[in-house]
Amino acid sequence: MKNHEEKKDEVDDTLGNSTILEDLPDEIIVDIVSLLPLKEAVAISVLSRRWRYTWRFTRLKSLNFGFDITADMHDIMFMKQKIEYHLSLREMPNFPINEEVEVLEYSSKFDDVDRVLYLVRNTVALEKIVVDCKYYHRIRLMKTKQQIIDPEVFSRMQHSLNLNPNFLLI
Amino acid sequence: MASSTSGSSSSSKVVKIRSSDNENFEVEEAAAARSETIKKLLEDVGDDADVIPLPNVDAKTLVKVMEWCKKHMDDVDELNKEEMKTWDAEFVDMDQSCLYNVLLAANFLNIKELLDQLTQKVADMIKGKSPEEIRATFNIKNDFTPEEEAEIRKQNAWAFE
Repeated sequence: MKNHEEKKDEVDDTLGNSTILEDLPDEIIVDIVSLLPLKEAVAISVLSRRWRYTWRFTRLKSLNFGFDITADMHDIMFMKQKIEYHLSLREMPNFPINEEVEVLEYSSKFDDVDRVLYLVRNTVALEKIVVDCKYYHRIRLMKTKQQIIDPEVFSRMQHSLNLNPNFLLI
Repeated sequence: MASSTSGSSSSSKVVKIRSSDNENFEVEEAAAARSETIKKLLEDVGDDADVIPLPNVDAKTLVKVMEWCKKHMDDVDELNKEEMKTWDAEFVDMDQSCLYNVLLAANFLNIKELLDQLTQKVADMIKGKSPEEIRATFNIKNDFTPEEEAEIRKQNAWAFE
């Protein structure tokens, strides 16, 4: 008898004033989106206006770009260079966050680097980013020393990261 | 006398809490104290506490939350971890409305571990779905014009490949 009643209650609830995902406050939504691979977190921007910029507020403990980096892209040349990001943070003493940041790998075209770096800049207290470009160079962004490998790439990075003067390329 | 704050020894101590729809529950203090919010309240009012009102949590949701707290009040190493995992997985497997209510309650009651489990559950429900599938699953209304949507897809083309 009692069991029956309970079941009935549940059905009624789903018909009536049920709570939906969008009833959750923004900070919880951001927590949820933070658990998605970056690619999916960004794709969510197309859902509706509410979701448009959510991914920019995500806090990432580890970055998972959601790409199959084994995909062979060598024939697509400049448009789709394989770019690998490594956040090698553990080498840094006094690194301010204790979450381990995974090695990042990311394949796409150069324009997209801006977006990824935008996110990285806004979510992780970065000490250093290493970018491996399959057809170019290895680039390191660090807070202290300077050693410019490729001025064009550097200015792009600098622009997209909005680097402060002591955050330079080595 | 504010002597019972240490409290881990006596499992018998019971506190009373009241849901938003005015149902009273008696819960073991060790379970209720999984909620940082309740724990703080208990510390503030001491032993004089009559009933702790929880104006944001209805009875149905509170039952779920306390079920979790009761299961999680013992030290984890005492329990079989695998069994706990299975229990947790079954616990979060509930209808969406209930899931979000419990999530909101866990947020209000400040139960970090439960909150983590529930946000992970929702993320898992989103994972691997196309935007269209996500809208359908979560009842999200697309309020972009087709042009706006095309523009966003273009801006972040790499995410839609």
